[in-house]
Amino acid sequence: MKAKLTWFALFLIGVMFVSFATVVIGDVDLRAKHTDITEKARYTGFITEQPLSTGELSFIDIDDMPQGTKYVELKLSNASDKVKVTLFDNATTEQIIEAGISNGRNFIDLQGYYQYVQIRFAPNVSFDLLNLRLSNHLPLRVRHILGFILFLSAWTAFMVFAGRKGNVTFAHIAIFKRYIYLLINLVKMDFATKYRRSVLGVLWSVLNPLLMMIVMYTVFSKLFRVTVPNYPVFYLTGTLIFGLMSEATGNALGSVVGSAGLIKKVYIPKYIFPIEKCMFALVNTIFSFVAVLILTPILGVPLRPTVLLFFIPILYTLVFSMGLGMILAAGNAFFRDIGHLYGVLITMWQFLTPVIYSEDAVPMEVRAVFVFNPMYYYVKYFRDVMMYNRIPDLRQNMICLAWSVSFLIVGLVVFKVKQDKFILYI
Amino acid sequence: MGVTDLPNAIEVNDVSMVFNMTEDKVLSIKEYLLKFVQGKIRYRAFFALTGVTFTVEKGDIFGIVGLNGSGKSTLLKIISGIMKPTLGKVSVAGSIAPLIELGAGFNMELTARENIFLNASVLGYSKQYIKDKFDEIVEFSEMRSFLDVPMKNYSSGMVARIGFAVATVTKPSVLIIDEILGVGDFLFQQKCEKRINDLMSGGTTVLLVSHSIEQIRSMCKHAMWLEKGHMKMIGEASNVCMAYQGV
Ligand SMILES: Nc1ncnc2c1ncn2[C@@H]1O[C@H](COP(=O)(O)OP(=O)(O)OP(=O)(O)O)[C@@H](O)[C@H]1O
Ligand SMILES: [Mg+2]
Repeated sequence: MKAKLTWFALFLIGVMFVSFATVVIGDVDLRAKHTDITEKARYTGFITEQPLSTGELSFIDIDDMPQGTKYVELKLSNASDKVKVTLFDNATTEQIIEAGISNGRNFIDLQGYYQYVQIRFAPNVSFDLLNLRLSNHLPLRVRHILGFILFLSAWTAFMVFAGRKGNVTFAHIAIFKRYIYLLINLVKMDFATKYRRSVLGVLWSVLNPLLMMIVMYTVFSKLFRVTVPNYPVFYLTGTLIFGLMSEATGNALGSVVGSAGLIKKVYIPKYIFPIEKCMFALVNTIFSFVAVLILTPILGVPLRPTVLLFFIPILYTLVFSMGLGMILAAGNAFFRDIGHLYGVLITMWQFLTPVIYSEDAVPMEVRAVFVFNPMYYYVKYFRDVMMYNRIPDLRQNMICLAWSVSFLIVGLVVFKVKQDKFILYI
Repeated sequence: MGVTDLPNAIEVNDVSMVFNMTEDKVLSIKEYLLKFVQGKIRYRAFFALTGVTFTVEKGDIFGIVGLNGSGKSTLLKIISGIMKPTLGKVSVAGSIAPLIELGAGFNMELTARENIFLNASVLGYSKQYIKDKFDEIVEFSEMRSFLDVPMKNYSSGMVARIGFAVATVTKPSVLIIDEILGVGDFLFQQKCEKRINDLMSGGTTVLLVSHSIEQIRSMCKHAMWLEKGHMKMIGEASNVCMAYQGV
């Protein structure tokens, strides 16, 4: 039964990861802007009949391409064969790209922005051109929706499965309620310990980011050249999110080993310990957030209504950290090396996340790495709402959610499978 | 609190506990890999408990005796859910108050008042519950004048008093006691015994480990003698005590 449960859980995780990958890989944007220029193409005189056909169509000029256009969409029917199209930059008369298109919707990636484009069709193939549109993003594809549905159903199945009578996973939630008071007490104690014998106490949580900001600002604006507008706020928002994760996971890592005294003496659901560390990090982050909130308008970035969404990226990061924290805590119980290694890894991770630099400053190839870095998405999300007055779209939310939930599940499973062995190793 | 319909308060069914004693503790991946490659990871399976089976009726006081290292504490930890047995099954009807090590989670830097709340939350009590019972705990421990003194300035008996008072403030279905009555002075010991008797008359089952044969004899109805993880004898407390003392 136990083996079965583990396999089933692993299977569900697999499903989630696959669907999650489906969502991530496509460049979907629900706000995609499409400019339909079918009429215009017709009007220019190259196309006279309905539907358009190659009889008379050999090329289409697109003047004044809308800013931000990335894709040209051509919808064909009745094509007897693949149609070869070549796109030219009309300003320099250089070829941009060559593509073979066929019946249905075709998206040609321009791989850059060109203001004047000519689309040439290879002769001797007949087809009907039903539609010609310019888009700044690929539209939402069926696979993305399927991916999301798969993701949600796998999650639901997992919860239902976990909630079945006799299964302990859900029973844990009832037990968890009983231990909320302990959780609160442990956080309080951590807090008291952190500020014991300090004169300023809690003020440090607000002061710390302030002082760090001054140091970073001096280093990066006086010693190095930064071109990021509003660099102080940029830096502050980045560190807040990354700091939440690194503090939460870093403390969670040692939480099981550090609570050996309790674990050996009384029965307590052991996941309390990593979760408590994450909650403690959250409390500290909230203090830092107050500092950021005070500083932002002073540093010249007005507070806009989107700031009210600040809790969403913090929540995503927190859930992600809980998952990762549980994995680390479980691992550390058996191999203390993880604790030593993690400090280095966190530093590396910080440099792989646009915290102190902007992603625009990084070469294109390096940017591809960001896709595999959840912190990149959380930091970006937080900056979007805090400084750019932007509400992240469904895609961005799906990615964040997928990372968080996937890690939480993996963390819970790893922790659950290993927790009975902790006591023998700590 | 719901006492389930198990006929007995505690059922221990063929429980064995094996500790993998590695010859030396391997705590790093490098060491582990090195030894793994060399085929040098040797586990010495150590049976702390072997095939222990017994039941305790509701309302009984059950004593466990045995020499040092015979597995008494291990057994109590398994019954209270702190450890999972390697083999076998344990079921307990209703709630457990384990007094295995008093004052789990006490933070010696904090005052007794703070520690009472902390310890209570460790035992899974709600905030309201402990607030309601606070006076009772303080009354019982007789530590009112020391309430706001950091626990590090307490004597060990004083710490034990607080721990016992917090742990027994509930009406658990099963109370598990591991040699904790020895710390207090004789007045407090009498008080503890009285509290245990009160709980018992309320239907609480007690599992008691003690090195004081007198205590087992005077308090328990039934008892068990553990030797090197094996059950050597089980039955009337007086008989078991006599046999044990004859060692
Ligand atoms: N976590 C552990 N890892 C390895 N061995 C252990 C562990 N806990 C207990 N043991 C071993 O199990 C045996 C039984 O220990 P236990 O604490 O149950 O004895 P005890 O009967 O309570 O003794 P005492 O009378 O001294 O309290 C001992 O030999 C001890 O070394
Ligand atoms: Mg013992």
